[in-house]
Amino acid sequence: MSNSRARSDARAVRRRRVGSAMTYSFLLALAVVYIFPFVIAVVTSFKTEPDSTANPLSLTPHPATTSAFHQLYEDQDFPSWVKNSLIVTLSVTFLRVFLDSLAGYALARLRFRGRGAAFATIVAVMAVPGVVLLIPKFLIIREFGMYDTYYGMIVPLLVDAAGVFIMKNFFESIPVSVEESARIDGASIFRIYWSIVLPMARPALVTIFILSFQGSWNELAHFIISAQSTGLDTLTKGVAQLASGQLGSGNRYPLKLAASTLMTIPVAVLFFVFQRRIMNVTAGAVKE
Amino acid sequence: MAGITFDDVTKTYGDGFRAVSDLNLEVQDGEFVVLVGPSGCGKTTALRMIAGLEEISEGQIRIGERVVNNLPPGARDIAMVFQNYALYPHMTVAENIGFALRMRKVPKAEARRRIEETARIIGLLDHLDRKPGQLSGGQRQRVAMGRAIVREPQVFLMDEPLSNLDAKLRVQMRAEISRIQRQLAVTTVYVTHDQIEAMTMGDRVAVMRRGLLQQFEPPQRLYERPANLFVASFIGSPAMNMLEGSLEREGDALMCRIGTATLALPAEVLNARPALAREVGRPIAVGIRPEALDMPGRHDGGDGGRLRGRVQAVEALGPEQLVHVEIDAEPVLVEDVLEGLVNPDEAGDLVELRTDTDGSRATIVGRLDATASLRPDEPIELAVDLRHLHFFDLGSGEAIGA
Repeated sequence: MSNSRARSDARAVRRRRVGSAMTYSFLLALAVVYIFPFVIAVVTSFKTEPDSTANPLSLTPHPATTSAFHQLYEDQDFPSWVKNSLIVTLSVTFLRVFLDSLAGYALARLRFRGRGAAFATIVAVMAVPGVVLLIPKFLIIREFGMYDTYYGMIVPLLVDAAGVFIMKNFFESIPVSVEESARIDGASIFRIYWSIVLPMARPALVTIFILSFQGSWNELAHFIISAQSTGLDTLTKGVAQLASGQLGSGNRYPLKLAASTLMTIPVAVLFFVFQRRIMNVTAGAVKE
Repeated sequence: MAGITFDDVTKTYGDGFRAVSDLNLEVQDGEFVVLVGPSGCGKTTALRMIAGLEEISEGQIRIGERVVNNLPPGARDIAMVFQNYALYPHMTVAENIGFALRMRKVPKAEARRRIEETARIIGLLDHLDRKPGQLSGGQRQRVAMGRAIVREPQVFLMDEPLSNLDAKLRVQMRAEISRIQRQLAVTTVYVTHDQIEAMTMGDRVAVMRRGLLQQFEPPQRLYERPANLFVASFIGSPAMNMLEGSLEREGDALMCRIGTATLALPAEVLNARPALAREVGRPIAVGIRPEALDMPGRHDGGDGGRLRGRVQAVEALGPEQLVHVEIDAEPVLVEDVLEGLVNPDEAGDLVELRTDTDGSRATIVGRLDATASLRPDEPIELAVDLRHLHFFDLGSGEAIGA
């Protein structure tokens, strides 16, 4: 009796082990599929031209060289692309976090005429594909005299519907009594937003920050329609030209992938830094 | 310091719901007033109207001499303690307490002094640099109190500040809040649904129901002379036994019949309530507090009435015991009574529970001392203290001759 139970227990343990082994191999395979292209990009950026053409998928450069990076720096407008990308991305990110949260707070807490309609419009905008808006955006930018300037590249990206939506939902989750308490303490609406609500909204702000940074850093279509002079080229525009434009002669894999690799670094760093900052900051505010 | 006056204050919401109707209330300077009632009675709405968090639909609220109807909350010189504490989670205890001072641009040194003094009063001097998340429930509650105290406001408003604490801590904090309030002598309005809190803390207690003020008096008076069936049922634990009865005249004396029992009312009862004479022959509600019942032959001198029944259950409480007795009488199960016992949503369940056995049998509760030996299912005879009976009109629910 006890013997047979022991045997069936052992069988169950074995079955569980086999099951988890299968799960892990599946997950591992999936991870490899996702990571592999990135690894190839990084490795290739350290290869020589002939090596990269002959062994495009090998994981060890023969010989390893940083000449592609030197070349990027010397031959191309790479530093200028980085500068433009930084200017645009940082302006967009900081202003977007501020404006999204302001709009989100107004929609979440203030009572004003047309609030429902405003929110409905924002949700509707989220459903429109960005491509549809490219030409109208171009026309408006040109009409406002912002074409081929930083303004034209930055201003249209300053507020995004998804960000407003996220902020509104987050603000609604903050207990009203905390804000009422601040009102009784004598704080103005902006003071409540700035000193009470915004610090409590850190998880949502971090989310918007990452999304905005990543979004504007990787943005391409908007920069194509908003500027044409090479002096305003961003990283995305520059790398796209490396891959397809007049510079696209020959394979030049190491050069293109060196640029791509450098381009991913800021976003990757951002994710690693902020991933730990996302935490529950409302602990202790109210008794649940 | 200042008093608070409600003049015909009404609150109507957009959907037409009247949360508070024609409320007239005068809170004296330095007084501790408790607003109490079941959920949905309008007590919190009334409090929030004083705070300025809820607009006043009609009427006027004054703090001191000042009409505050259109003043924003920050300009009313009030401080409020919320049920969920509503602390600022990203600020330390000191910053939480000092936030209102910062908003009022109190000089730094002065603010520091007041924060420390407040921390001493609430016993959190060693915790000034902690964040609310690192504090226990009781400590958070103290911070919420501290935030109110540091302001030195004209009025304290408290919205069920103890309902999130466990039972023991609640009793302790009850005494603490009373002590602090007496020490600072600040006019206080305190909202609770717990009648024990109301009775133990308030200088005066305002009982509310469905947006209407039922009675506004000191706790003891509320207990001894409830104005109507609702207040009688709501105040006191265990609740007042409410039985249907009728009055009959026998010569000069007035007899009160409850089921099969007849109680001869002493002359002093009739003298105190001459209006009782007009109720002869009509059904009325008779209220008997649990402590007005006793084992016979102890204090009643043998001349009082008796109620006979069968013991259903005995709850030993240490120094005393509660005995549940089923007697031959009709319980009063009108809404006024039921809502006083439980909140309105559950009133229906209670009717079922009480009438399940038999419509003409009522269960009453007596509070007896621990020496009487009682067993379930045994017959029992209880003496009724006839001088402490309560009489109510069954139709209007009003106390007769109160």
